[in-house]
Order: sequence, then C-alpha cells, then structure tokens
Amino acid sequence: MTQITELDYLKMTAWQKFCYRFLAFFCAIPSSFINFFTVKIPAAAKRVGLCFKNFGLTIYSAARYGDWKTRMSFVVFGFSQLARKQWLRGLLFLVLEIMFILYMSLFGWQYLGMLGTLGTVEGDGWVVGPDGFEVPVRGDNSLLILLYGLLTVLFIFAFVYAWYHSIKSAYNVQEYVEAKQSLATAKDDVKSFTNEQYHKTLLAIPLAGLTLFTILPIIFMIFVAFTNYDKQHMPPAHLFTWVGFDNFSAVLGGGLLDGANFGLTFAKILLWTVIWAFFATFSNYILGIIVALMINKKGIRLKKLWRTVLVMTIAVPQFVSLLLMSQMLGETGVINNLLQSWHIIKKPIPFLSDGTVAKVTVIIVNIWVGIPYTMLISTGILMNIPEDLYESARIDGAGPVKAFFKITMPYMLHVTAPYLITQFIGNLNNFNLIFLLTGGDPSMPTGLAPTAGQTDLLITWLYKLIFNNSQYNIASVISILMFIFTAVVSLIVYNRSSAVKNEEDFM
Amino acid sequence: MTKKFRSKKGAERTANAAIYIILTIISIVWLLPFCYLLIQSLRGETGSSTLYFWPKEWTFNNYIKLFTDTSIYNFPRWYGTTLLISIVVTVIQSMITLITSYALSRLRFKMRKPLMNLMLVLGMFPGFMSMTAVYFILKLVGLTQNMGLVGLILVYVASSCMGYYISKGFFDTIPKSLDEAARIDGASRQVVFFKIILPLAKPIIIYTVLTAFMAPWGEYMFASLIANGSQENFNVAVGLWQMLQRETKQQYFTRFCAASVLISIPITVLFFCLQRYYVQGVTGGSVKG
Amino acid sequence: MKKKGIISLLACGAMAVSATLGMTACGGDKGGSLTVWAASDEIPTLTKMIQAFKEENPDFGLDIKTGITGTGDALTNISTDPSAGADVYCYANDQLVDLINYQALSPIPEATVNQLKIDNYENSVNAGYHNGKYYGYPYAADNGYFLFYNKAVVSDTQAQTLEGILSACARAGKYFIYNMEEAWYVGTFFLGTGEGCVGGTYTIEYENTTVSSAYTNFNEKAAGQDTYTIAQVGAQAMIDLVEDYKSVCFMSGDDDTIAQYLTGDKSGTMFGACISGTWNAKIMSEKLGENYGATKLPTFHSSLTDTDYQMGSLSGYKLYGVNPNTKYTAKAHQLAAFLTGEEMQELRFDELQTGPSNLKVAALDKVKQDIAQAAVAAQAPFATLQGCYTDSYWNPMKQLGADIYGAKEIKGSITSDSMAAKLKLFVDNFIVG
Repeated sequence: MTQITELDYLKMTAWQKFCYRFLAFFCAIPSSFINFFTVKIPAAAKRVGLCFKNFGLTIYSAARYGDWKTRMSFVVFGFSQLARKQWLRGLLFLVLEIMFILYMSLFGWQYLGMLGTLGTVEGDGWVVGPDGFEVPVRGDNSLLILLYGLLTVLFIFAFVYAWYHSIKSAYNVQEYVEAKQSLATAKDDVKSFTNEQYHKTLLAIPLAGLTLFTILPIIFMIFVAFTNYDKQHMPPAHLFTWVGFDNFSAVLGGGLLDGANFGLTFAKILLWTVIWAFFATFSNYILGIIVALMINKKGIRLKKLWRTVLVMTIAVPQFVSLLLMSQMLGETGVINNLLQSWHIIKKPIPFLSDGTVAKVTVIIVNIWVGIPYTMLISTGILMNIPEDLYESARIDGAGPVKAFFKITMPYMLHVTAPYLITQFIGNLNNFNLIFLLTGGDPSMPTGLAPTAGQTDLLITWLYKLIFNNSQYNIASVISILMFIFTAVVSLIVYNRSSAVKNEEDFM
Repeated sequence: MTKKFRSKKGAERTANAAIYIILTIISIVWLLPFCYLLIQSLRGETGSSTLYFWPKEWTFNNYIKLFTDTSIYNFPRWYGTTLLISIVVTVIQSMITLITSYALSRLRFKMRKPLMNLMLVLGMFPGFMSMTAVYFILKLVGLTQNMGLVGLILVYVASSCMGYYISKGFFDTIPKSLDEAARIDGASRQVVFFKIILPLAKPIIIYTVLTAFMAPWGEYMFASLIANGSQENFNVAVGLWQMLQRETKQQYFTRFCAASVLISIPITVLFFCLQRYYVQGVTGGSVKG
Repeated sequence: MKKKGIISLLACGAMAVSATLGMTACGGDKGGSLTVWAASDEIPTLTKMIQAFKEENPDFGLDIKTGITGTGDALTNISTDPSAGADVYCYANDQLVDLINYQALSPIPEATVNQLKIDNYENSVNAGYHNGKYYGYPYAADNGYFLFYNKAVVSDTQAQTLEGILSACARAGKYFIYNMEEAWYVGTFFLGTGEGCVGGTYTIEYENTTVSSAYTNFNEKAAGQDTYTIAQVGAQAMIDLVEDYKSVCFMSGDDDTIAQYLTGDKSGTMFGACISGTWNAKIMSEKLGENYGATKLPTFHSSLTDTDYQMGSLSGYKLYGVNPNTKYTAKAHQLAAFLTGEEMQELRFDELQTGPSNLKVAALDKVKQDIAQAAVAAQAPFATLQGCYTDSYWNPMKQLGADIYGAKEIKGSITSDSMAAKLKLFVDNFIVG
C-alpha cells in the first residue's frame, strides 16, 4: 500500500477514509506478523529471563544473608514466619507444603515417573480371575499417564513458585524484624485482599478454573501431537508413545492419507474456511445493520415486536433449528415441494446435495442465524449516531442509500471493528452451523481425502478425524497449526484495534 | 412549497410502507422454521417428515404425551434438570464473568495485558479436542457418575472468565472518576465494586445472565459424555436426541418438535422482557469491547 | 510485603487435596448394583425382563439399574471411559473389534458358548468372535436391509426384480426409494453372496481382524464372467438406475424421505417400494395397512453382461456383552445370558418386534408370519455379515454413490469404467491402509 500524506487523507470522503484504514489495517498484518515474532516474542522472552534472574537473586540473598530461621524455611515452609509470630501466613505456607507432599506421595510421583515413556506394560492378553472368568490384563494407560503427569508437572511449577515466595516472605519478615518494623498482622493481610490485592481475590477462582479445565487440556492436546495416539494405539489396551515431529512432517509434507492427497485436501478446506468466514461475517454484518436501520427508522411502529420475532431464532436451540432446516432444505423437503407445487421450479434444487449450491446455502442459513445478533448490537449503536449528521446530508441532497454508505456504514465500521473481527474469527471456527446443517456433506470429489466433505471447515474436519477415525495425533497437529494461525492474527488485530489502544479514553 | 412538502411526506409514507412490507417478509422468513417446528409439533400423523406443509390432522397429543407418557422419555425431568443446570450456571458464570471483567477493566496489575491476550486466544482452540482430558480431570476429583451434574456445571462455568470481552468493554465506558471519588472518600476496592460499579452495570449483568442462561439448553456433546446413559443426568438435548434414533424417529419426531417448542418458550419470554437491557449491554460492550 | 500467588496456590492446594480425596473415594460408587443399557424405546421391556430375572433369582443379591444407550451409541459412550460404562450393555457386531480394543468386553466361558451355538443361529454367535474368544450373547438377527413394497403398486412377482419394481412404480406414478448416498446401502450392488450374486460366494475370515480380505474381490471378474469385473457390473447397474429412473420414479433418500412418500400428499401415499430395515416396519404397516409387503431384495439386470444378479446386503447382529470392568463378572454374565435367553427373546419380539437370533423363537409361527422378519430370513442367504469396517470403507462407498446420484449429466462424465477405476483405487488403498 502506497503511503499517502495527511492532506490526501483529510481530503477523502468518510467512506474512502474508512476503506483506506481498512486496507491499511489488513496490509499491516504481514508486517505485524513479522513484528510479532521478531520483536514481541523476544521481548516476552526477555521479561521471562528477568523473572528467572529475580528468582535466582532472591533465593541467593536469602541463603546468603538469612538467619537460621529463614534458612529453615527452605525446607519447612513458613518456618521463619511462624517463628516470628506471623501466624496466618506461616500456617498457610506450611499447609501448602504438606498438601503438596501428600499429593506427590499418594498420587503424583507414579505418573511423573512414567511421563518419559508413557507406560511400558501393554495391557494385552487375558488372565483368569478369581471367579473363573477371564479378565483383561491391565497395562499402563498412556492417556492417564500423560494427563496426570502433566497435572503433576503443573503442580510442581506451582510448588516451586510457592517455595520462592515462602523464602522471599521469610527473608522479608527477617528484615522487618531486624529493622524493628511492625509486621503485617493477619488482619492486615486479609484486609489487603479487599483493596490493594483485590485483583487476586477476584481472579483466583476464575483463573484456577481456567487453568484446570482449559489450559491443562490444551497443553495435553499439544503434547498429543508429538505422540502416536491413533487407532492402533488406543488406551487402555494399547500404549502410545513419543514420536517427535513425525506427525508434523506427515501433515506438512503433504503425504497420502487414506490414499488421498492430504495436503491438497487440507489446502482446499482451508480455502473454503477462509471464504466462508469472509462471506458469513460480512453478509451478516451488512444485512444486520440494514435490518436494524429499518426497525429503528422513525415512524416504524411495533419495534419491539419486530425485534422479538428475529430474536426467537436465538431462543430455539441450534441443534433443533438447524436439524429442521436441513430437513426442510432436503431434495424432498418442504421448501422444494412448495416451490414445485407452485410451479416455480421443475426439478428440486439440491440445496444441500450439490457442492456449490450447498456452500451458498450454508452462508444463507448463517444469515438467518446471525442477523438477530448483529441487529441487536447495531440497534443501540445506530441510536448513538448524531441525528444532525443525517440532517446535513439530507440538506446536501443525499438520499437514504447515499446516507447509508456515507454516514452509517463508516460510523458503524469504525465503532464495531472489534466485533467484526471477533465474528470473523468465530466464523473460522463455526462448528455448530456446518456440523448440524450439512455435516460437511456432500463428499469431496475423488482423489481428495474422503473423510472431508465439500462444506467441511477445518474444525468440522478435525471432529471427523477424531471421532470417526480416532486420529488424535494428526488432529492435534492440525489444531495446533490452526491455533497458531488464528491466535497470532487475532492477537495482532486486537492489539492494533482502537478499542484496546483507547481503553483509557473514558477514564 | 406546500406541494414539495406534501410530496416529501408522501415519499416518507411510501418508504415506510416499503419498510413494513420488507419487515413483514423478513419476519415470515425468520419465523418460517419456527412455524414449521410449531406445525410439526401439532401434526397428528406419525412419521419424521411430510411432503406437505399443513398437517392433515391437528392434535395437542404430542404436548400432552410429553407430560403423561414419561415411562420412556421423562421430559419433565430433563426439563427440570436443564433448568437447574441453567440457573446454577447462570449465577456462577455471571459472577465469574463480571468479576473478571471488572478486574481487567479497573484494576491495574502486572500480568493484566498478557492475561487478557491469553484468555482471548485460548477460546480459539477447538473445545471438543480437550473433552477427554476434561473428563479425566473431573474423574480424578470424583465428579463423574453420581456426581455428574456437579461436574457438568463445573465444566460449563470453569472457563467463563474467557467471556470477559463484552462486559469489560461495558465497564470501560463507566467513567473512572466515579470510583476515584469513592476511593478518595476511603472506600476499598471491594466497596467500590459492589456499591458503585455493579448498580450501574445493570444492562451488562442482564446481558451476561441471558447469554449464560441460554447455553446449557442446546449443549449435547459434554452433557452426553457425563450423563453416560443415566436418565437422571440427561439434559434436554441429550434426552431429545434419544427420540431421533433410527428406531424411534418415525414414532417420536412430532413429540420431539413439541418438546423443542417448550424449550424455546422461557428463553423467548426472557428476551422479550429484557430486550432493552440486552441491547444496552451489548451496545456498550461491543463499542468499547 | 508481597503475598503474591497465595490465593492461586491455595486454590491449587485445594485441588490437590480434593484429588487425593477423590482417589480414595473412587471405586465405591458402583457398590452393590449392576447397570444394564438398552435403547430408550426398549427400556420398558428391559424393566420387565429385569423383573422376571429377579423373580427367577430371588437371592441374586444385587440391585439392577437401567440406563439409556442403544446399540448405535454403545461405542461412543464406552470409548471415553470403559470403566464408567454399564456392566451389561448391548452393541452391534460391527463395533466388536473397537470394543475389545477398549478392553470393554469380557469373554464368555466355552461351555456357555457351546450352548449359545445350539440355541442360536451359529452366525449370530460367530458375530461376537474375535481372536479365539467369544464376546457376546446374541439377541437380535435383523440388523440389515431388505425390500418393502406397496402391494397396491408392486405385485409380489414384480417385487422379485428391480426392473419389475421400477416399471410398476413408473406406471403408477409412485416412487422407489433407495438411499444411494449412504455407504451402508451402496454395497448392495457389489456385495451379494451366494447363488446368482455378482460377487459370487466368499466367506469372511473371522480370525482376521482386518476387513480388507472381504472386499478385495471388487476388482475380480464377476461371477460367470471373464470380461467385466464386479466393480464394473455394480457401478453400471447404479448408473443405469439413475439415468433411466431418477426423477421418474426413483428417489435416493433416507428414512425421512421414506416417511414422506409413505404419508404422501393429498391423494394418498406415493410410496412404491424401498430398501430399508425392520425399524421401518411399524410405520410401513401403519401407513400401508393391507398393502404392506416385504421380501428379499430384488435381482437386477446388468446391461453389461446381460445377466440377472441378486442384490446383496450387509447384515449384522446385536449382542449383549459384559464389561470386564464390572465388579461382579459372574453375575453380570448370568444376567446377560438371561436377557438374551429364549423367553426374553420371545418377549422382545412380542413387545418390540425384534427379530430373534434364538432358533426356537425364530421358528415360532408368529415370528415366521411377521412380514418384516420373513423378509429378513429370505434375504439372509444373500447377506454379508458386516465386519468392523473403518471409514476407509464407508467414505469411498459414500463418495461413489453420491457421485453417481449427483452427476448432472451422467452420460460421458460417469461411466462404469470411471467408477470401476475409482473402486479399484479404493480397494488398492484399502489393502494398503
């Protein structure tokens, strides 16, 4: 994109300005992308390095200058605090240590030890049980070893972190006592959690839930990409083990999978995923605004009714509405039959059974699903557009269409850019709509991987790879690649978008 | 002058008429699947589908049987279970979302930005990929089988802080001078949150509540994994799915439709009543969100 | 004075404690009871069976609970965590190998197997066989497809040939429905076994866990032929069907379509005939009344070889299996054996019209006179026992059917040769994969 001067920019109409910024935004993505890897990541690494340095320094100075009570805290958490009568804090640290030791000795260590091999005893074969019936030989369960092993590693990290703070706090306490300053009482501690430390109070539970039920499973799936966890290696009867980067080279090398060209299938699905996300997002967006404008127009009555009618589509669970839709759109479905009986068409329209038509159909159905949301969001924003903008446009002789493109759209796009981007990324991963409406059908032409269908998005394809073929390893690789792509793009986009930058505007 | 004025008024009138027509058409198109659902639920003939639109025979039997014939499909029970799940999830999830977004919007701490970015991207990892892992974590703490519903609720709410985006945007629009004034008066952070911010955040609370309430009604995948065949733990989605099996679909499809209509009623009513707040909430949130 | 992380560590600690507690609490949750799974519509019947079982074994000592999981969902519900699955559950025999891989099936003692073989169709017991052991108590032998027809449209003689059915339907303006887009049914033109079938006779190697051996013969010459392969003959027949009769009187569609045409429009039913299974028997008899007919699949005339071939089918059995993760293996086997015994199969037939695998029940007059069950029996000689095929079988078959049915201009673009080439590719990969 060529650079233009500020003067040129000011001369542009609002619409041109918007287009310019819009293009500039997307043109900047590649450079931001590079920036992300060359500047952002090293900077983050540096910060992490600093943390380690601090960590080392604290430990070192506590060991070097600490008295015996502080040094004792290296082994017994909270010793220094307890010895100096800071009961609450000392007790908390001590309890933490005891719980960790209990966890490790009762549960953690056995999984941790096998993390390197993911189990060695294959659970194959049978033995005769006590009641004369054969029971399977119980081997190691690679899945549980990996999962619980990672959980234990997570706890160990947390434990080291606690150890660090225990020592730091122990040393601090020593310093306070030596300087004859008064120590924070238990009451002070509690109080600070409603004030200076309030963010910890607020975020503790949300983050604990996040770590356990989102982050840990994701780490688990990432590690699966480096194993041979597939149909031939399903626990509990069989073991899977580490295979390094084999799966990545299988996916990226474009090899054959089920005898079909895997790389080409991947490329085709990726292309359709992007096309789909684009059309699904913008069709919803523009049409949603138009509908909102119509409802909001002065003189139109029953506003609440119109909105509720649209919103009713949200109220019916998607698995019902989309199931019904796919029934209605079938070759013998109601829509085709009505059209035929009214003699509008002669042959049924293959809404869902022809590749190209099905692609259009899913986009249209997505409009049906999505417009109510866009309508709701834009309703409020449209009310915020200053009426005098329209008034002056009207005086200039602009009709409603012109006003829409000159005033409404630029304003909306400016204000809702973050929403638009969220929608785009959401649509890249729009599992429900495709899965429930077409299930990815119709199938791909010969030569491409037959697991994939023509309306399959990457995410629905992944689902098939896992649930029909149990190819967990390959699916993990694909989801990692997908994840890196969407995550990096969206991070750049969010951090560039005005909402984040202007966060402080209102404050 | 008067003529021009009149024609302008006339144009306005035609425009409005056109809009009414378009809105009517849109409403018909949008209501069509819903009407179809309603009509199917009132169809007397059995069979999963018909070639024609209007049933030959109308009946309320499908609705009545949902409540009287519960030996196979205990719809009232599923409905109750789902309602219970929904209510608990709504309460916990709204609290988590609101406190997370408040913390991210108002409090300043070292890890704030990285945390926001992290929560943002985590949502992009396909959820079903981690289902097995989540199940075994639940199993580890004994929240499957008999405790399945607790586990299910825990999973639904565990990651709700990831939905901070819209409500943080809304909190950002509440002037910061308000809390500063209170802080000068000696109020702690906690007091500011509960006494000053929350009362102003009614629209976003309602928005969060509505979104949280709707989700469990259509969730199948994890609910089915947790229910593991035991009817006591079925939510409506898992239960209704049983009606659509090869062996049962021809007989129970119309009843399935009736059940679906009943599911959509509470949500529609809630929406109808709380629409104004929902619009305010989502507007405030997405502008700055 | 930082206490950074105390709270989050507390949470972690709480988790660790509950994890430890959880472990000790585990295992106690199944005490004193057995769980049995069945499909939702079978639950009332199952409850009766359990009642009968309790009466017969008053000192059984365990509580018996029921859960909803039909044969279709058994694998899904078991696979994540076999140890949480029911103690006794039903499955379709095509899930056998996967279930064994999940260590979710307990082998049956030899003496019981011998008795099962005497009481049931031998094939139905063999359907639970894998690597030297038997894993299931068969109870249903009707998991396959055959022909339903409307006697008002298609006469009993016409129902014997595809050509007869189609011309009768065309004359009456009714429809023949066959789901060409679903892999399970696509095989019908290729998979015939026995006399007069395109595929000739072959047996399935039960010892072999891979299914490839059963389908490698797609590229072999059709029975009594030295020019055309099985693939060519079958594909050509499908192409002919679509070319000549699509949008005249032939329709590819699923159970919804069948229901639609059965109910028909204002002028009544539009149903001529269809290929489907026993699950549709109820609605057939309800909608067609006196005109409800069912029989084995028809023969088709190959335009390539000018010969008539019998259409084949895939068939399977349903079995009750015992989960080896149960605490009460012996008692679970006792229950499973009871649930699939003679009286219970008869009860099952009376209440659910399930086609029995038990010879005595199958020989009962009421079973023999049941139209759908008679058709199952008539199709049996031409049916292939469905093994544990993976998607590498289903997907290409589906692709093949959809390609033929969906082709806009069939002539030129899709020929028996191009389709046969496709099948060859598929078979080749099938062997490799």
